Amino acid sequence: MCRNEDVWLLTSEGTRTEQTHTWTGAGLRAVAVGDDDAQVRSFPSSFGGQHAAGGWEVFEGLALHSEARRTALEAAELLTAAPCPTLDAELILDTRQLALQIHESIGHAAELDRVYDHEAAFAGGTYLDASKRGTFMVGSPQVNIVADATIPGALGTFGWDDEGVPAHRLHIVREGQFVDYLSNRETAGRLGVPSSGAARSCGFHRIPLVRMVNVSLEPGSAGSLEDLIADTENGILMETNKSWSIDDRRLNFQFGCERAYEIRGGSRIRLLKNPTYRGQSPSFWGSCDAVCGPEEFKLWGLTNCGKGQPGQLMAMSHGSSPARFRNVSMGPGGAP
Amino acid sequence: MSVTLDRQSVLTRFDQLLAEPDASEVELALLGGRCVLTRFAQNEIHQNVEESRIVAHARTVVGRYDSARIAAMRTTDTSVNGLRSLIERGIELALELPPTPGFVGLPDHSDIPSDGVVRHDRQTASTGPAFRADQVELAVEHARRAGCHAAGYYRITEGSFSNYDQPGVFAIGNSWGLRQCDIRTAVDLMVSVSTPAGGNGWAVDWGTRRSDVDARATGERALEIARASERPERLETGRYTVLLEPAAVAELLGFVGPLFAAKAVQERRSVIASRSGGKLGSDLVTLTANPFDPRVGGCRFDGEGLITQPVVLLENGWHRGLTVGHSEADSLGRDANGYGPLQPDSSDSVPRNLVLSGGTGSVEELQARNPNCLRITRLWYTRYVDPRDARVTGMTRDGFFEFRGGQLIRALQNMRYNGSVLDMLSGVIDMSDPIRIGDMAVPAIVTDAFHVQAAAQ
Repeated sequence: MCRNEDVWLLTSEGTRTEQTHTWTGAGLRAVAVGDDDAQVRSFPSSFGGQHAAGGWEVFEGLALHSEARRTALEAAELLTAAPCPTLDAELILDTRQLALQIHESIGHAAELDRVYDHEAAFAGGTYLDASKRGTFMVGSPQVNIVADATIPGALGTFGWDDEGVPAHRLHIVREGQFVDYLSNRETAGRLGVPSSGAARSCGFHRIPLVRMVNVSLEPGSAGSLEDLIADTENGILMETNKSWSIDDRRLNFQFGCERAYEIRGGSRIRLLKNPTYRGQSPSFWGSCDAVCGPEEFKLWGLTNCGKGQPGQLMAMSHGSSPARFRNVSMGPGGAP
Repeated sequence: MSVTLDRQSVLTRFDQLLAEPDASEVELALLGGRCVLTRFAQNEIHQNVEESRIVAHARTVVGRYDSARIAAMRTTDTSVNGLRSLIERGIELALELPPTPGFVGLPDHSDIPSDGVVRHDRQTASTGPAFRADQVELAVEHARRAGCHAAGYYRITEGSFSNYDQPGVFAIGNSWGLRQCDIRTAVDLMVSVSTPAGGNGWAVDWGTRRSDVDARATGERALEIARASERPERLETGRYTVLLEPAAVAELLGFVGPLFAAKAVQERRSVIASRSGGKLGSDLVTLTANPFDPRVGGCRFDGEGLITQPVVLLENGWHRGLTVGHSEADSLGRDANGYGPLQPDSSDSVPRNLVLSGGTGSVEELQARNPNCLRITRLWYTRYVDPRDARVTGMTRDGFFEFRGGQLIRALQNMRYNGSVLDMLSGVIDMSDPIRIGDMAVPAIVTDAFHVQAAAQ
């Protein structure tokens, strides 16, 4: 996918902005079919691969031709893997899956228009009602989540939002505490705060809504992914999203991944297929006890975020380092 | 002058641009149309939008069959000059591209059979914002009087819009003389109501004409459900007999339809590959893809202009048919039946305009026949866990109840469900008459194979 968009904004209040957004993305998806099973592996991530602000250099940087065989072999390997067991244990998420976890359970929940019921009939409300701003622990002290529309190369980066508000960087969650919303001028005015600069529209034909910019989990101090695995006695490492579902208040979620590894005594001991995990957003983030360091930080571009009526698809990036969560319910996908 | 939402205007434009094929073939599709929408929250309108946008999609083919070079381009400039330029640039681009082996050519014209189904209503198409505001007032008045909050939208489309208000094909022509045009109107009203005590209810109404939609009754229904859902109790994880209202059934059927795409079966990505002709639903379940059903009034041709034939997918639970597009038919060794996507597109040819039949009576009569069951208004955020056998997960929303002896005895906390939609269809023990929900006609069903778990707190 490649998209080049020239945006001019002229308003009766005197706003005059002009900017160009160029995005490029690509990926691989291999499907392996067995007797009673079909397994998928994606490179470098699912749902279209990786997307970033830029041109042909983004595509070349993916080096898809050198990854195709390995991706296919990984899909085939899953056919004979054991299903993910049902257990409550430590869960390590890779950055691909964390991108979606951040997006669904923190990013959407922090959209201020949800507080005022603007999405009540469709996308839904939020567990982060106005009384929780500055008072509610949405995660452990390890959890720092930042909305940043100024990151070079990210899909939610711009000079001004679609109401002409300059790009911002602000904490949504600081050391576990929910501190601020994503907002536009209308909803921010209602709350009595300045707009966070998150009014975005999918094109000239649809109105700007409160949308995520680049929402990321800041790196921690747990070292590399291998360090984190070595520090994990009994758990599961899950990679690359395959399935996602969350309730209309962004609380109750179940996510599935393409593959997983069982970890015992600090080592990967076997490959697992069809892994899913479930939880409640604040208690899940509250169980986060380790976030890997900045050397593992990675941004992932999402292009399929839906919201609004008429519907709008929006793109943004989410960054993180791998992180670990304690006592998470996991099991094989789709088990009743 | 741009193309307008008028059949004659469309066909004239096709004739102006689509000459007999020479060294190249051209296909021109028109997508979108007009979408007007009034959105409300906390009993007040907060958004009122009108969008008129026709997108032209040209597929240009240089060379024939295995030597065909194919390009596709789009524009919103639907003037003669704009479309001529689009086609010329498409041909230039095609010459730069490698051949597409296996290309079978563009389809020939065939006449759409007349079915007498009303698909377009002029009065509905010309509806302005004042009428929509009046409908919103009717929809929220019960909630406001009761001290509750209503939210939702009133929407009218003319032309073709697919899920998520993305433009769909309403006309298509090609240089072999194919000319198809179905400009449809659609009206829908969605109302959700929240009560001060934490109850939530939801109702929706659909139609081709604005007179099909009863705003006051829809708002009243949403309020009734919201009040009944106050003070919900926790339900234990388990398998239950459940009455799924039509909106919930439509949500689930959207995930079972792709199993019947012939390419998915051929590539063994669908469980039907190993269960072809087998029993996939209960004896009550007959599932058809049929845009000619008067309750649906769907588009009668596919993304290549091929006339869509009704296809029985399940008959009394037994697997019968698959859906096939023109471009893939030869390679699959099957006859196309008009379910192909707009080309070029490697997606599966998925059934649309699903009609689930076999039941009788209204939803309330179904409830009376099945006095002891759970009842679910709608489902939310349903997603595949494994598309191969339509295993899904999702949440109940806006009305989850327990009935005993025909009486509503308690509201229930929303819960997550997991399971195969095919298993749910195999567990169907009763159904109502189908009604229109979106682009489907579906009943309420009672199934004894519904698994719920983990109440949301």
